[in-house]
Amino acid sequence: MTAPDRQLLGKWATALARVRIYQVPDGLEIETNEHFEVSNTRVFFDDVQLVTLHRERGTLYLALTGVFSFGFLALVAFLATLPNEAWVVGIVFGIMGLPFLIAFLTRAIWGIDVVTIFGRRSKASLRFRFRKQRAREVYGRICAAVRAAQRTAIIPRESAERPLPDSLPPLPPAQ
Amino acid sequence: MATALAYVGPQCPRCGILLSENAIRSGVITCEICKRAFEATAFTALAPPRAEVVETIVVAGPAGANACANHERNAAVTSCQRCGLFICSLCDMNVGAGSYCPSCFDRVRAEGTLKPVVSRYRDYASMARLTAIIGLVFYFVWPIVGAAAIYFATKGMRQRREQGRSRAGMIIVMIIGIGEIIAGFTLFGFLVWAFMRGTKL
Repeated sequence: MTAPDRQLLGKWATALARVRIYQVPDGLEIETNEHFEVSNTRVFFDDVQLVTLHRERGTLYLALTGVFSFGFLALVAFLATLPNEAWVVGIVFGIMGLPFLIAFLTRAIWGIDVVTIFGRRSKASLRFRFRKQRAREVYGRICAAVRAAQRTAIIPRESAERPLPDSLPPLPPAQ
Repeated sequence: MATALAYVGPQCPRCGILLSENAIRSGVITCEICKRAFEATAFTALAPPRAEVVETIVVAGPAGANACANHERNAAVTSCQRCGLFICSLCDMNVGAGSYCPSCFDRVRAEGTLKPVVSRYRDYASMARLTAIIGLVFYFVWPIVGAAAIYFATKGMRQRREQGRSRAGMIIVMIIGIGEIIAGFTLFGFLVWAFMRGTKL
């Protein structure tokens, strides 16, 4: 089912699935949990063609959290102008809108660092919200592991393809 | 079950468009379609070498080997542990759980009985956690939900032991489940007692 010598590289969750990515000796293991069904896929290091790193903000996410947070802010500002203790209701709406505002600002300021590993048959993607240094470290670590795995795959092939020397070594003396 | 789109090769990580051969290189790449940049390191993934040499009957001789059931020119190296068919090294589907012929391998893989190739399974630990939480919220179904939480936690513990992961969470779920059963029956007993007392008065 799963190898014991695996190390968690990163995890994140969406509305539909929870994803964990582990490093195993020969590649990356992607564990996706969708509605209590866990599926495992792998990207082998000797299969990797491209590893990328970029920062994304997500237009839809920013638009949705922005609309909600500024909507609540506008409501709070409107209630603050009304007489007769309406500001108390404004505080309640302000508290309701605060998570949206925090989500909007954190995403707008920091974004998400995404490390994507493209193999010949499969791909894996790691997302880092706050730990930007960790994202770069994981990127470097995966690149190093891929390089090492592909080097060990090339060396035996090269030695097998090496032509025989012109002069053969001398035979042992006849007894 | 979600249907995944077929993966065909390296894509732009921003827009998902398939990258051209020229775009697969190390450095900062700008996507030709979305015009946005990303950092990349390219590698040369080689096709795995076919190191294994298939022994033929011609080499081994008719007395030295049996013929493979699927390839009559190849010498059999082992037999399928499910159906007993003689198979050559080409047909030997050994993934660390014994040798299988291709058709038996497909069957045991579909059945999910071959542990090393199981890639999809039910997560009982998550089910146990959710059931226990539901029980904490809906008090009128405590005994049923508590029993279900214990059942899923037992299965989750077994699964986690196989995976070599911590079982502490499942023990907590079991304690909550037992608590829910006890609390449920206590509540039920109290209600019966109160009803009886009410009818006497």
